[in-house]
Amino acid sequence: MKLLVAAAIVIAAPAHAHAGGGRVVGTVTVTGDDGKPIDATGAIVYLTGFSEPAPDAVPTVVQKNKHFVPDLVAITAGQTISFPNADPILHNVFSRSAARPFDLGSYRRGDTKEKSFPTPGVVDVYCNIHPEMAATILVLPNRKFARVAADGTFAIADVPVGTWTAYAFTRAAIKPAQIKVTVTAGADATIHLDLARGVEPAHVNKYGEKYRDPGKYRD
Amino acid sequence: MTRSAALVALALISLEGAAHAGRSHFGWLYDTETVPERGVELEQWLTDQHRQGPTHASETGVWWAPVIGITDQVELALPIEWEWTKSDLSSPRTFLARYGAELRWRLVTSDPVDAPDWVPYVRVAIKKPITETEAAEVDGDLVLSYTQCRWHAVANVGVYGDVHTGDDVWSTRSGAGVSIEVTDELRLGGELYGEKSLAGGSSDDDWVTVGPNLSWTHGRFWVSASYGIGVYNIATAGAPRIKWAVAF
Repeated sequence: MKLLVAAAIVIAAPAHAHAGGGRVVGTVTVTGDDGKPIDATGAIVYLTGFSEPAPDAVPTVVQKNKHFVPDLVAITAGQTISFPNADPILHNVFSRSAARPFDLGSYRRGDTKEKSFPTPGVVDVYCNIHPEMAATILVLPNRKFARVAADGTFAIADVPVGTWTAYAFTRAAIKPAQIKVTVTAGADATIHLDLARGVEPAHVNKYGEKYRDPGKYRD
Repeated sequence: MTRSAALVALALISLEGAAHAGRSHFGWLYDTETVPERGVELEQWLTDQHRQGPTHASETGVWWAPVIGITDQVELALPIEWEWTKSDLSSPRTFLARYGAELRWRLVTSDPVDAPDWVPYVRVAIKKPITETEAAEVDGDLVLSYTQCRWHAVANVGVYGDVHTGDDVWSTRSGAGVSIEVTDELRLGGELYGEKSLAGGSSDDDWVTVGPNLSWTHGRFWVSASYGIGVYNIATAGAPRIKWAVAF
């Protein structure tokens, strides 16, 4: 996938997370490729400029009904993601992203494979058998990110005091929206981000080839 | 709040990696990559040897096998081999030489990020010679590879047995090589390889060769080759081996 997504992820020397940080709250609006507003639910807002250790949690991206669920995930560098197959057919999850190439091979329903993501970056994940399956993993340098709610709002708590860059991103976004935000102790910093979504770009299989006739040799 | 260092902003644009060069980077030597689980490759070798011993034995071999990924670290090859042979003691002939099964086990993860620099690998094979009804052939190798930046090196130690009833022939083989990434798809290097009789055979069968190698990958295809130049008991015509495979 040739997303022209400038997901500017800042790798900073670990900043000191001061006790008594503040919150970053606000709203995100998303417009479609026709310029009209669309549902922003599921978009992710994240902050960069400081690093934090990864939590122990292992998020799950399920292969179900020939889709990845969810298809956009944010994790902290060092975390592992589990990829269970819940479909009654084989899937072959892979990524050619320079940030984290991998190939899980083909596995069947009920089987699960895990993959670690040690460094920050944007990782596009696909199935080598089913071209309609696509997901994006944002591997972030810290734990300060949030998913946008149905009403377009979000809140990120316990943000260290300082001036950081906030980004909003959704799958197929033309580029992430960004804004500087200054966080003070015990206070809310309110921001608004406008995100433009394009069309889902075409992608290649794990060999770098176009997928063959999607109506043949499937299931 | 103070920051202890300047911030480095990386514009990560979902960059895609290029294809990686080859599952094997060597001609005569075994390497340590394996096919992903449930992946299949059709792999071929073409080998040429012209000995300098008293019988001037020449041999051209074709090795063909589907290679099946059992897990991400274990693969099974089911080879069939054809040979053309000629010596001072026999007429030239082409024949179906043997068939069998070969198990290859990479002892550490095959993940390109999580894999350690040092990778151990074991292969064992059992084959049935077509022309000898009472015989079997067994062989195995220990392989160790080391990867650092553009450099990839391997060392092989193996044993080969032609097991007859009371008339066994055993030999050992070993070698080492290095391969250097030139582009994303092309690697160049060199390798040393030799075989030596252990029991039941003749020192006339011993040979050593050294030479350059290359490997190239494009998409689902890879090829690796070495042109061994005679060091001991191998004619100056050289001992080339080329391997290639297509993944499915």
